[in-house]
Amino acid sequence: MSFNNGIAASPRRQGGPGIRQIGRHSGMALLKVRNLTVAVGKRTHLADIVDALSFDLNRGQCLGIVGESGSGKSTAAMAIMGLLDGKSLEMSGSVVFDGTELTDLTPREFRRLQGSDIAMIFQDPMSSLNPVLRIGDQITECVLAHHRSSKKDAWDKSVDVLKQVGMPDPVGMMQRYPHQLSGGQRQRVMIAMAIIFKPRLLIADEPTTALDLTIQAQILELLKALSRDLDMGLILITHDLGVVSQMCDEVIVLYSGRDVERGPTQEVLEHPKHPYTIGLLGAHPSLDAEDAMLTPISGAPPSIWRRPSGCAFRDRCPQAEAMCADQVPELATVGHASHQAACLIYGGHVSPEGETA
Amino acid sequence: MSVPVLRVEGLSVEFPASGGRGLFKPKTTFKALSEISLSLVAGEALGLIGESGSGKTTLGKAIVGLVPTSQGRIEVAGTELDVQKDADRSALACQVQMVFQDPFSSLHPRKTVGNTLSEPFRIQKTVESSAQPGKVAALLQRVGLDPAHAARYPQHFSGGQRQRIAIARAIANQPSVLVADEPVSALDVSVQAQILNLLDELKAQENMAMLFISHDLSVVRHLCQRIAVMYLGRIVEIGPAKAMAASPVHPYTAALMSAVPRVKARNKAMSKPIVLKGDVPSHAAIPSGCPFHTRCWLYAKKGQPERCRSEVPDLVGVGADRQSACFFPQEADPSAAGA
Repeated sequence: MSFNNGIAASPRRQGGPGIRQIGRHSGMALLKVRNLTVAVGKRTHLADIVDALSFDLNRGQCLGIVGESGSGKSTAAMAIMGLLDGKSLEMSGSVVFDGTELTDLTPREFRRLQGSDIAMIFQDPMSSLNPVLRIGDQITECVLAHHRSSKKDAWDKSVDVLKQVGMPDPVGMMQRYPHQLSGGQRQRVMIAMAIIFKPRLLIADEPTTALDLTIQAQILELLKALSRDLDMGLILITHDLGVVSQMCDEVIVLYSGRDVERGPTQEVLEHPKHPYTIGLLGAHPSLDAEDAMLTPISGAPPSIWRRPSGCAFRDRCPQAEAMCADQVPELATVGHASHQAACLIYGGHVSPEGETA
Repeated sequence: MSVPVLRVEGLSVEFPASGGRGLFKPKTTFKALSEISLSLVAGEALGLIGESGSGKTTLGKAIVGLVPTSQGRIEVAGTELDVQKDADRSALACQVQMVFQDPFSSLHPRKTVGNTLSEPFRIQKTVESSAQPGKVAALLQRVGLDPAHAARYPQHFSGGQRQRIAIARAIANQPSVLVADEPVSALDVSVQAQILNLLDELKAQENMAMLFISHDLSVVRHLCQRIAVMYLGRIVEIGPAKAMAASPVHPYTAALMSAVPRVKARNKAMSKPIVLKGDVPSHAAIPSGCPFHTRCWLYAKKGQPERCRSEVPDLVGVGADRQSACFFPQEADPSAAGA
């Protein structure tokens, strides 16, 4: 992956590496992401898919990245995993995993980490599995790619890991093809392949979006238990604030490639400060609440090529003022110490309740 | 109670089963829907929920006549309609319309929006051709789009706008029943609310009955007055939305409600989701007795009663306007049972 540090800096990046700590014992962070930027386009005409994302993640901690389609949440994850094509995308910033600067690694060195120390689960378990290979062959292939061992040992290890993810009949399952499995079982296979080497970091990109409600509950429970047992750092990418509330310690809300609000999950969800977060929470009905008209966010998310000047959300923001067009808002602390929002009106100035923060 | 605009009685749908081994083996079928009965009054929204494979989409399609039924009857405004007959098929299309899940594939890409929207008028001959452009403009306005956009093609619109067009097409001839099959699940959360509010408004203004199919319980709870929960082709519980969300009577409903990830801290009884074991069984091998017993937490808790394995529970009344298909209707509410 080629990281280019010389690309035209967006207004957000000119203030130097504004280190925004997320996480409690920040000295020992497992993953340190600083000013991660992914841009697409020709040198003269670049558009940021991810714009200067920074965060820290500790072992045993779960970070939620929330956003709508096109917000850059999956691209950020792929960039951290080193799965993006450096030829067509411009990348800059730093990703430090357990003391190693990932952006300096050669592809060969990176591949050694991928799948063993850093693993990823994708959204659609059907298209992530090879339809013409047996489950057993796919998992043992994953084992043999990282470890010199006999086929027999790899096979046994695969059965063990299937048992660990709660797969019914793990031995029989090894002989089956992906189409013979249900969606939930396929996702368990994906999780099994991801955790086989006890990774320190697991990135789950919408792991339950394709699954039914009762199966979603099973998979979320499994991910929670695994991250606790293996002491993994977990990055959960989702669009469902309910899932975030249930799973994550910290949350980052992305809008059009920029983090607009972040902080401890309960704090952000109970006292949202950015109008976008407030809008998201108001736009989805609650199962327990009384009937009220939903308050939709008007319009649709902007294309990265036609992002409004200043605050990317201002076109759809009910509170936008003239100054929002001139200046890209920086993250600023609001209320609670590690709760930050990037809003000129509410971020660090006046909160919706009217108290100064 | 007023006369129902839509009445479904004992509706069953069977599909041929694949995988019959051997050329001369008899062809088998499986039941996608077993004896579904429900009714809708004008201005009412009934939410149909269930997991994939529960038959909720099949039921919607059977009602609009897109899937042949093997048993049962469909009455619209008191008249029985048989979709196999052309005349009835046309009458049904006038009265019952559908909005599909994916607005990217449900609109003809090479027809202008105006052309798509005037099609219902042309087919049903409800509006003179000279008056059609005016009607199309009015329709576009109703769903919150610019009437000047009638000349554009679907590709020029975003997902939310396309769904508005699909809704406009469905309401063109003022149907009395609208079947909406997951109309917002392909849309972003911030756009979903716009479409939900639009549907809610239209239903009230037109006094339409709506069958709202969704897997999102919060959305159904918000939009619908009543909810029907489906499992393996059967309705397992039906009743008023509020009461069902607050105190489910069927153990499957209870599990579904508790599995919804909630943003706000929930009440104590719901704090621990009921995690069901395993997957939904296949239609080819529907368990004997109560189809849910293989995954039922109440069945396990009650010491696996024989009755659940041998007898299919009927939908029976439990309280006002509520029906449940469980032998132990009073024990499924985790908040009441103290689970």
